Amino acid sequence: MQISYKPGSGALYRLHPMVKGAIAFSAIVFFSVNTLGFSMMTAIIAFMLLCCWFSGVELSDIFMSVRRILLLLIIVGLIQGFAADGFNVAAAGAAMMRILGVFLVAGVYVTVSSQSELTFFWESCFRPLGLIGLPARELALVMVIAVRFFPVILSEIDRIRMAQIARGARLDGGGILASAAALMPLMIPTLTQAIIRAGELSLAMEARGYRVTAQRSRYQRFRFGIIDIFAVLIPVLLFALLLKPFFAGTF
Amino acid sequence: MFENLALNSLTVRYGRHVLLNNLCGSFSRGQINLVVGRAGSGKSTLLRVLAGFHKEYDGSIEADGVTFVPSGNISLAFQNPEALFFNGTVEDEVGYALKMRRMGRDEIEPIARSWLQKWGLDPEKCWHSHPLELSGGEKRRLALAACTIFMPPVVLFDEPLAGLDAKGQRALAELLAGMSSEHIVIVVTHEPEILLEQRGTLLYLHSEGCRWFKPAEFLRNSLIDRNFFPLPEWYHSAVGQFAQSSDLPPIKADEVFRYVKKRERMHADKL
Ligand SMILES: Nc1ncnc2c1ncn2[C@@H]1O[C@H](COP(=O)(O)OP(=O)(O)OP(=O)(O)O)[C@@H](O)[C@H]1O
Ligand SMILES: [Mg+2]
Repeated sequence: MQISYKPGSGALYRLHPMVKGAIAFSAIVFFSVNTLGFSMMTAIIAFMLLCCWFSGVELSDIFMSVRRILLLLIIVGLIQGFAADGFNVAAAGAAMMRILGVFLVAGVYVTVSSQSELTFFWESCFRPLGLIGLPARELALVMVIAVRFFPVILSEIDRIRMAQIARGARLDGGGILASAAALMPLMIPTLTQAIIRAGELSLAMEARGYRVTAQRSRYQRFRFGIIDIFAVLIPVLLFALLLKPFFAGTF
Repeated sequence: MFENLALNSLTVRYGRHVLLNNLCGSFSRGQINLVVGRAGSGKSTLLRVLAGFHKEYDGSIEADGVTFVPSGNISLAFQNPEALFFNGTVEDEVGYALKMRRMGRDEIEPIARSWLQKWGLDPEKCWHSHPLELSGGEKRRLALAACTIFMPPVVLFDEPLAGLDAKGQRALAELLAGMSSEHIVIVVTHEPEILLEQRGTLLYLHSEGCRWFKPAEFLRNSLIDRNFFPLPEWYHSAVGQFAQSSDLPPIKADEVFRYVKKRERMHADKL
């Protein structure tokens, strides 16, 4: 099953889109670069899952998808585990937890954020770029469309793969160059379709009167609630933790 | 060439979720085998199982009494098969399946040319064209030609009629009927009335269990109970009055239309 937005009403759902985005972003950065040990990281992930559980987030799809990155996790664990003095289980576990954490955060974020919330977040993030003359809205739109089409393209790749294999394609050639050539029957149709679809989408949007430069109102208003004030502390805390080593001597 | 493809107590799962339960029956050659059902009833999944891409199932699939090996015996076409084009010329596109079967270029050429002709494309005209340059209808023909040039005994179609205009649908329905003499043709569709023929079979997938129907029987059920299967309104009003009577008119949408027209004319003559 694809990971996708599943409407809900728990606390995580009700957060302001900016806060959600900030938490997701800081948590992903945190998991990618932190140096905490295995047990600390497990505790953080457990706490995170507990929050999700209390908010009624549908986690089954995310867990199902973890299976897909299992191999990656194991390989990373093996590589990180081998140290000078033999196999270090704690290091291996920490490395695996790091990737798992990033994956879970991204999964939960996509599950609790609707399309309009994602758009809102991206637009807000890109707005400052508008000040220095960059086309901020266009950039935001590109991001949103890319995110939006990702699942469509994934399922399309799956169907094209099956049909080409049935025709006799062997998509798993040996060696890097050979496998690049073997992937042609998969890559070319996927790209062609993506481009055709993008063209159709842009026509459809313009036909309905969409202009990037037009001033738009929002159907949904996002309000800052009390819960957001507390939630903002999470990214602040995470960044503080990350930056602590740099300021260790100052305080 | 196989005569029939039998499903023996096929139970298909996604994890713990059972999608198709204890499906028995068979698809045969010489007719169009339709598969219908609501969205999410598992039609596409059934095709995946037959094609060997979904392995979470119990039971067995047999072709003429021998366990069916999908690899090399099956072709799979989705809603817009032209999405599969990746070669620079029609020549390479149609011959690809044979090339992957290790046939030489000069061996492939005559087969490919006659195959294109069989599918109503002029090889002289399009041999060196880019596949994406062809017209919509030609693309569809080329795609189907490319999918069947290696003569797979079983051909699976997932919603092949969607997105075509009435003329295109009619042409495709004829192509499919023509294919059924050489392949076992299995078609998943939301518009069964276009392909429904007296001698075909129809598999109706349903959460409470799956049933095989003779087309006339299926039609009668959906005429009596609109919730059973939603047929188009015009079709309903054209043949609805026959639902209870013992002899149904022709049941393919095209023929129904002609039949109704003829009766109207007869009626007008009488007045
Ligand atoms: N990869 C998957 N993992 C888990 N469940 C799946 C997966 N793919 C499909 N399903 C589930 O199986 C069910 C049947 O899906 P399938 O695609 O076979 O339906 P369908 O009959 O083809 O529907 P449609 O008419 O919309 O094409 C759906 O309820 C879907 O949620
Ligand atoms: Mg389907």
